[in-house]
Amino acid sequence: MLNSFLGVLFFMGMLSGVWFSIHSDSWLGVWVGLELNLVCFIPLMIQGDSMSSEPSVKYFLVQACASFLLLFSGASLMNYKEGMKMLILISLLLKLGAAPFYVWYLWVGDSLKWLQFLVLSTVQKIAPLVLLFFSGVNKGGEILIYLSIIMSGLIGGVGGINEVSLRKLLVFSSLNHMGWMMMPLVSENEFWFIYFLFYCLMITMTIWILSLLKLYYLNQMFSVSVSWANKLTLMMTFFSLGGLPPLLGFFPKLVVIESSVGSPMVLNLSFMIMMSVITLFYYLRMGLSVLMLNHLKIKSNLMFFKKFSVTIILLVTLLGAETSTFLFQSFLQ
Amino acid sequence: MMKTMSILLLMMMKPTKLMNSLCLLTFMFIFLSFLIKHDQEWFLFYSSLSSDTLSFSLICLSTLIMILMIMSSTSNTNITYRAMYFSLLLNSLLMCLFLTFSTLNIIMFYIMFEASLIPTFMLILGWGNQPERSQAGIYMMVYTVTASLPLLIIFLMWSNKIGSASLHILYTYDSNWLTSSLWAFILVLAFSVKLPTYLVHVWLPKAHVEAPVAGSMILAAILLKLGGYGLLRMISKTSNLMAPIIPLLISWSLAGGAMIALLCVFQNDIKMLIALSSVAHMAMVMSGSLTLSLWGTNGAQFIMIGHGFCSSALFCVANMTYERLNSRSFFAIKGMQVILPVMSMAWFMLCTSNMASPPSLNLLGEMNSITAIFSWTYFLSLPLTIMVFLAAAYSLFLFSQSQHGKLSLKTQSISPATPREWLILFLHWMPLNLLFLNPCSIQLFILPYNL
Repeated sequence: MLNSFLGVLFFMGMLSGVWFSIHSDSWLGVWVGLELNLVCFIPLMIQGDSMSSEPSVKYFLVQACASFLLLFSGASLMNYKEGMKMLILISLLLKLGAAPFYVWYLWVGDSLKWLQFLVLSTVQKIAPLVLLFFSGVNKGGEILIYLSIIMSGLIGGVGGINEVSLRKLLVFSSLNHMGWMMMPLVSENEFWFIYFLFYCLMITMTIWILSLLKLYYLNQMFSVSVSWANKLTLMMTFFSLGGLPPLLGFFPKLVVIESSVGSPMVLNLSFMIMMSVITLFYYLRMGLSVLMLNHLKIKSNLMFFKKFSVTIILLVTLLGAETSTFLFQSFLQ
Repeated sequence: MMKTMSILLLMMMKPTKLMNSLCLLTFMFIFLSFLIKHDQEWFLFYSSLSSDTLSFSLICLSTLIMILMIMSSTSNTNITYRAMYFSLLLNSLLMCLFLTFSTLNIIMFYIMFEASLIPTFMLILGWGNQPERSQAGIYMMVYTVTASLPLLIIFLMWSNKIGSASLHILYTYDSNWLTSSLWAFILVLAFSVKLPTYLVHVWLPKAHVEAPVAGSMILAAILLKLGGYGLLRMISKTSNLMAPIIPLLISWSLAGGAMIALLCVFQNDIKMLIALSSVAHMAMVMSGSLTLSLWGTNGAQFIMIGHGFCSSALFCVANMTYERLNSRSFFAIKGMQVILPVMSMAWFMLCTSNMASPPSLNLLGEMNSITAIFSWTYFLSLPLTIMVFLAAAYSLFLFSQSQHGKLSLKTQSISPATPREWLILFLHWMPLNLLFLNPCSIQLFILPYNL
């Protein structure tokens, strides 16, 4: 992605599109930023796998629709039509790939390389989330957001149960995490940002180790034969995504629960917690294959490596929550 | 403080052989023994780490059991092949347990309570034998996590209300009957899955059967006690919430215990029987601590310690038999008295301790618990009678079915018990029966409301 001049140019364009859209005063500026972001991301998607342009076409169509809807409803908002706010929210949710509008995310995500997938699930979410935060969802748009939270949690939890493609699994897990991220949005506090940061960290760690091991499907996990430390790292990143307590992924969940525990959000929260237990189930299933020490090994696919990056991933996952507890100590008293 | 810190630092070390790990843990245990002279009150070792009799006895128990676990695993080639990972896992598990038992912060308690699942999960999956161990591991994880996440919400709600997460100033207001009962139920449910109580016990026999011997030992000896520890700590603080649902909970646990005890008699798998018998024992812990009396609390404490030694030893001796006969079934293990008379004596002593015969600590615990429950209501005499009777029945069944009878034809040449195995069983049996003589070293003198 960053190994050619054009790649760097497009990457910078993508980032500046995000920057432009979250800093602009009007919906027109937002639209310009989002379009810039989209136009620069498309070549990067094709760069990953030049044989197939199908995911980029799908991505372009969906995002262009969403941008147009945003422009149309943003322009109409000047006439004080409050109903347009719903359209804005819908277009942002479509950009984000949150639950009722998640199908494109599943298709596009499943056919990308790991690096492009990482960008799709981190950088491309910054702008829609920030805009959702700024567009005042708690003044008129709560029902839509609640619906989206609950559907994201449900689909993210249940959808991944019978899935073997790791990219689809990560899409479902990111749906579930998006539900968690949108919960503080409703009560308009900034904890969604902490959740988003930690989610980015977790998914980066997971994709890092998965791309080191070149894994794309669940059944490949049995065939790679790597050292136990690497297996442990892989397992820990999955557990961390599932939000098991001492690991990195638990901390943002703790923060979100803490922030919404006194409000009527508790019911919603309980639902999301149950759904994240379901996601934990499929993370466990991913981990099972790597954690079994004695099983039949296929000798043809031996991989021996021990890289420094693996140690970093393990350390961040294991000690991240403890470190961040010290950093954000005011939450925990 | 330095003593405790040095213990925690020792756990960070990376032993490459099981023997190194054993020496390390023994060293830690000797360090801990300097702390034995404690004043039965709260003893603060570091900002939010502290201990009283309840937690200190469980910390000592977990260190000792960890030593015995490593000793009993040295015969397993599967474990000695990956000894470093194994001892790393055990050390991290011990660290989690140490922090769970000694922390005063409820959020920290919750985090460490859950954290102990991960090493256990790896222990079951990594070193188990049958492919069914994946199912057992997932059952364990999903059951425990599902039940304990609502607990986190409640803890955070309370710490939000009072602005502090300290265990000592847990303030539980009851806004109305329904929500307070719901909270109390969620609180108990999280610990009763860990304990486990009847209806939510399904994960336990599976996990025990599939785990390697070290996994079964730590599960029976310490991880079940996490639930009991949590109950004893939390119930005393939340007695105002608990009051309306205590009759329901006590009936649930005792009736469940009686049914599980009945189920034990029908087992044909040794490990399954021992696992289910620990479920039956834990019913007594739960109902004893729910009576909110000094006698009940003490009974729960004694049963917890006694059962920790007893069931761990039973799993150990079952594994020794398994290593010789490669079977856990009663149909294959018969007439062991003829070929292993020495081990038969160990079986006898442990089975009698399991059915709470004198002079085992289980007897003292059951005496205390039964007294407390009887003084709470006489109506519970029926399930209690069934439980106590069936405890004797299944323990004797376990002994006589495996030790008496005709030898099966396959068992021809069997190695005799080694000194290592003797040492393990002796180190289990000795504290179990010697603590009967000096129960005040683990007795809780303070009122349950201040626990």
